[in-house]
Amino acid sequence: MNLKRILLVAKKTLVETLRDPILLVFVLGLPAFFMLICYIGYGHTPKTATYPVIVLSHTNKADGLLAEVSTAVYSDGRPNFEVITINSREEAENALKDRRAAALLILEEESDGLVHYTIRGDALYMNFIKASTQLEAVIIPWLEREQGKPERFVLQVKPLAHPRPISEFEAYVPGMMVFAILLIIPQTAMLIGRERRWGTLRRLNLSLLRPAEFLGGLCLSQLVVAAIQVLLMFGAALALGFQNRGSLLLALIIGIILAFSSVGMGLLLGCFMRTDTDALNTGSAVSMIQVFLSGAFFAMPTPVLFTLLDHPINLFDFIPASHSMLALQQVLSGGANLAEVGFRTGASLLLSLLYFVIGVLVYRRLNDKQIFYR
Amino acid sequence: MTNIVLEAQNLSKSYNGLQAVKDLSLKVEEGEVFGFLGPNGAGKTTTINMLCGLLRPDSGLVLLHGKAVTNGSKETKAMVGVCPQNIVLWSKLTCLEQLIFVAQMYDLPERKARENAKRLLHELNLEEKSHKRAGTLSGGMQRRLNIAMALVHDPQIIVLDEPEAGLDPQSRVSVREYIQSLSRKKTVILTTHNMDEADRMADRVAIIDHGQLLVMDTTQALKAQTGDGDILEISLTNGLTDAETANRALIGFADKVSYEENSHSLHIHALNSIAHLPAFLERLINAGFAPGEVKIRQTTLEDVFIQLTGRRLRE
Repeated sequence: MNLKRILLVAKKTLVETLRDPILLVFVLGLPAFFMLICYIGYGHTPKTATYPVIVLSHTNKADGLLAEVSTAVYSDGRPNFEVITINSREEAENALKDRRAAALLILEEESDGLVHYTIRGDALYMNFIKASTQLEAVIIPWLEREQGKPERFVLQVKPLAHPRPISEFEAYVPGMMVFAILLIIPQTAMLIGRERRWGTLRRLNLSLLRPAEFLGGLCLSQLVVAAIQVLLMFGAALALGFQNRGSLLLALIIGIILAFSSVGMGLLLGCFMRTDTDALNTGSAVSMIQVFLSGAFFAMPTPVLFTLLDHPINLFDFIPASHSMLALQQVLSGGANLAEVGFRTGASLLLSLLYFVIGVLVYRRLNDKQIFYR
Repeated sequence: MTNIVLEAQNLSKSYNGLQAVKDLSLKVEEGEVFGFLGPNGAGKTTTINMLCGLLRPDSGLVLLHGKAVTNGSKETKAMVGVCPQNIVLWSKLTCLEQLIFVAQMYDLPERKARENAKRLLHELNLEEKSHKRAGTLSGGMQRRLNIAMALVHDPQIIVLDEPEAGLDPQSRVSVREYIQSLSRKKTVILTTHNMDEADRMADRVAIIDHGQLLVMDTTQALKAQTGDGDILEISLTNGLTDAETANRALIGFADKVSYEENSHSLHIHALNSIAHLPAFLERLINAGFAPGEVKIRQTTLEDVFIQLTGRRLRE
């Protein structure tokens, strides 16, 4: 292995990237743009939102409950509900349809003398699901107290990672970072495809440059790009109101490890792609699949296969992005330190190395078979 | 005594049961321009790749300065420079940048790489374009830069694949002069379809077809094998077209007579053909032919090539 040749390939690739406006926008502009889209799409209001709730009470027996609903607060003192006063059922239903209210609470006294409650709302509206859950957390204990039943449980919410309310946007920042870093897969595959289409790959093979050095150079250039991407996305997130609780350096390291695995997968894909267009299309599909399987946006159900060092390992844990996703979430939003994310970071690093080594071996094997020249 | 720089001994290579090269042997002398000719699919590229150490032969041996070449060995790579037929450049890098980059890929120190790059840009009339990106150059300039890329690491053997393809006359002359200037200093292997190009530049020529070497000699010797003297092309207006009858009519005067259907003419190989022309015409008329226009030209390498490989079109 010749380090000088690796550095020269990396430098050449970076110079070419810098001189290609389309590639530059794709590589550096797009991730920051995704962050902005995420901010606009998910909103910047805290996840512990105050939900507008309409209460239609047909009994004065529930005045106490009404008072509890009106005064219910989160641990940080923010009110759970904003009680809207509407007297007509029809007007209340319209407010639900227009999503001016998250839920409609109807309180009635039945023939048994007990207060019965109904919560109505749009089941497709996420705020209804959240508001109704929180309403029940107030109603059920109140009803039990009214019926003279002993209080069976006391609800205490102690957030593991978020000692302060965070917005949907902030919750998705780590996922967006994973998403953007996974875009390095098509980028890397495209670089190999492009060298092949231009015929320059053959020129490089004619020289003393070894396959591992060529791939090492590509890898290095992409890691530099990844580091800039992570910093740009982080900067964009901070500018849009994201409040980081962890170490930026640790987040950067986790991001670069994930980028390393993405480069490995990109190299692997690039070996089989005839042109940069093929590489870009296939690489994009592979990265999108990983985005979803890694749980960047929602958790995918999968059975636990085995336990390793007290950590349950499931099917998708063989994707480095799954570990990086969790680690980034814990560092950025939860303020976790290296010891707390050590297992996930280590697993991601090992898997990344594995993918990179496989990429180099496959490339060398195909190179020996002269597949690139025909 | 000539010094053999590159030697192929009984090279064979097949792809998926298709024999691309079969038992091919040749020797390339130091400092010569060696023309390597053959129709499409004849096995030229496969042979060149094996000679350069890019492709492992199924059997046979390649010797470089008498030492066996191993696939992709450092010594072979440093000693050989290949200029592919297609223009192979990094369009976003400047002329100087890519020449230095390629030279450094052969482990040349940066100073030497820069020195070689600047010299080549000067020699190939690209000095003014040193800091221009390759993608902005004209086709002719790109072709010249393509040649420079094969030379920048100072190889002893240069393989040029169709170096004049797609060039305008000015660039063609410039490239040809440059290649001729390399002879004696470097060994040049020239693969081409352009017989005129090979005839003008090559000291010796090898013609292969169906993966086998057909002939290998100097261009003069090959042309002499096809027929001494000139070629007389006599177009026929009507009457006989039979080459056998024409051969009988000209026996003792001409080496060989053939009938070319496309041009509807007789091709007569003969020494001192101008002096014998009246006699030729008289004998042909007496035999029943109706001669029309008459052209006299020298035997070309193309005549040799067509005679050896036939007129059938290749895909």
